[in-house]
Amino acid sequence: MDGSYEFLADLRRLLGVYRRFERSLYLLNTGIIASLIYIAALLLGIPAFFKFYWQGSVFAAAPAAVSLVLGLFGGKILRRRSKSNFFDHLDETLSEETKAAYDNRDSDSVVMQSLAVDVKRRLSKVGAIDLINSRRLNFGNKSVPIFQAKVGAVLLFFTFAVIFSHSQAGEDISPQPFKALTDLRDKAADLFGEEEQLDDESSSAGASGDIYGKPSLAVLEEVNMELVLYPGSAAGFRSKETEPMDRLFTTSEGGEGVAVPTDLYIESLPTQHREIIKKYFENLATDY
Amino acid sequence: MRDDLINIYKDAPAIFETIKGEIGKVMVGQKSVVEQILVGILAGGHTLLESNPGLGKTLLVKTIASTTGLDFSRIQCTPDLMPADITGTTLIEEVEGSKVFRFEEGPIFANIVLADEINRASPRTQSAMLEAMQEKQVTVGKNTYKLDEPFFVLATQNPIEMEGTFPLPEAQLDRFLLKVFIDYPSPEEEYEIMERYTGHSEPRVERVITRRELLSLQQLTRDVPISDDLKRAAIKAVISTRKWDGVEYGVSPRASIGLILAAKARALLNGRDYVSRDDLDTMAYPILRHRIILTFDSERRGVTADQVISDILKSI
Repeated sequence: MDGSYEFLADLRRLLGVYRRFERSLYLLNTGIIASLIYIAALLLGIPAFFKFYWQGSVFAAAPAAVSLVLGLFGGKILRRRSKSNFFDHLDETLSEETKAAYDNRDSDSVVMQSLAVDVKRRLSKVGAIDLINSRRLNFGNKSVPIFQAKVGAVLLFFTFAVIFSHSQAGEDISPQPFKALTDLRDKAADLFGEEEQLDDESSSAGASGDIYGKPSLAVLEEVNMELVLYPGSAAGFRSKETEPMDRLFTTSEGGEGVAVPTDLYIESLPTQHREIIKKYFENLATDY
Repeated sequence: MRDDLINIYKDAPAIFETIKGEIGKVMVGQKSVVEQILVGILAGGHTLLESNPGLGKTLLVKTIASTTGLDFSRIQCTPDLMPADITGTTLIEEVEGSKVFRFEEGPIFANIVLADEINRASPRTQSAMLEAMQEKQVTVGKNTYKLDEPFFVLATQNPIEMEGTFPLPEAQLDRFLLKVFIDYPSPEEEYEIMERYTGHSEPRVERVITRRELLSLQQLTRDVPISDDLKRAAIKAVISTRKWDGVEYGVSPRASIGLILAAKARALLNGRDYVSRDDLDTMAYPILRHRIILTFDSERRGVTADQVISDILKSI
């Protein structure tokens, strides 16, 4: 900004406020879009799925992170598409006056000097609040400052997302459909009396303890269900033999080859296997 | 000089109010017409007034000339009016026994020239006058004579009784900064006119501005700041006329210059030190209307240049 007119200082001050205001609007838009996307994801059960599938992992927070990234992206698009500029935030007369003064700031004509004084006088009365409240959303006959409307929307959506998210988490901890499975598990443990022993053995064998695989998620009547196979609730058994067993092989020395007449060899064979051995050699002789 | 300008600028609103007041003594109503003529004077342009007969065109021009105290002359245009009747002629004079040529200035040598019923003058005479309007000088023989500043031509024409007239060609119409329509007065205004002009004394006007003040005001007009947005809007409007549906020929760059100057003059006249969008929109009609040439089809459908301007202004 060149020129030496005093109104330029006020203009700079208001431009600073305007830039901060635009940044705040960008963040609010990001918040609104991210909250809406997260709420949509909650309705589809996506965050719950991630939470179950990647329990304790950073991936469990992926839906929230993706919502935020999409929110930032959407906010940027809205910011780029917005055609508002600083002068639109001033009232119509002041806007025209200020634009004319700013575009002619290098002129020192009598009329320009008079305009500069007038603009300075009027701009000095404009506060940050006036600038923020100038952009309004119309609802029929009523209008609300866009900034306040967006703050309200962000708070509303964010609160809704948090409450909805918590209500889903509550369902996940003690889902009703899992009751039968839990009972079955307890029954199995009583029957075999092995639950504790199995746990000990699995840990002593160096197993991770997560021998049942990753949980799956099913949505039944809008309730997210964790499909987990609890120990003891399945059929089958586990071997208790965990000690390694030595398998010894006896070696024998080879004897000298001696020619034996066929009839004599056949006679030496056990009676019950004699025929089959004889047939084996006959087939062998025929093939070659 | 600068101090003079500052003083005149400070006094400008009062000067304009006084001029309007003086004109108001003679002219009843027609405020926008008065404003547009004053805009033309401030912008240093020529004005073409069009109305049916008897609406006070000539009276208005004479009154404005009286309030400004400028030299005023009137040319009643007829088909037999010759260029020399306007520009002047060279006479042979006897001075001390020898004959010398002397240039006798015509009525064009005045500050305000009223060319009444300009469309009744022959094209040759119109051409001579319009050349003087453009160049602000007159060439007779081998000599060129500069016209005095300020110089305005306020021409009138009426749209009826077209027989025996020579409509101004488009190129010559372009020399007029403004074309102003004068409409019939309202019944109340007409009553007031009747009251004023049927008594024993007719209203008289006082001179309220000097030539020097007027020249300073013209200079101040050019200094009125205008935003770049409005300049772009003016250019957009002018360019739009060239490709607008139903327009045969759009307006020339002279129109964009005229539009900006006229908007500045209107701002100054209304006591504003910047040009507003309203100035631009209001002045677009008198500046552009005589420069737009409609297609035959548009004219057949009754479309007017003002309607086209209105549509263009809505679109920008």
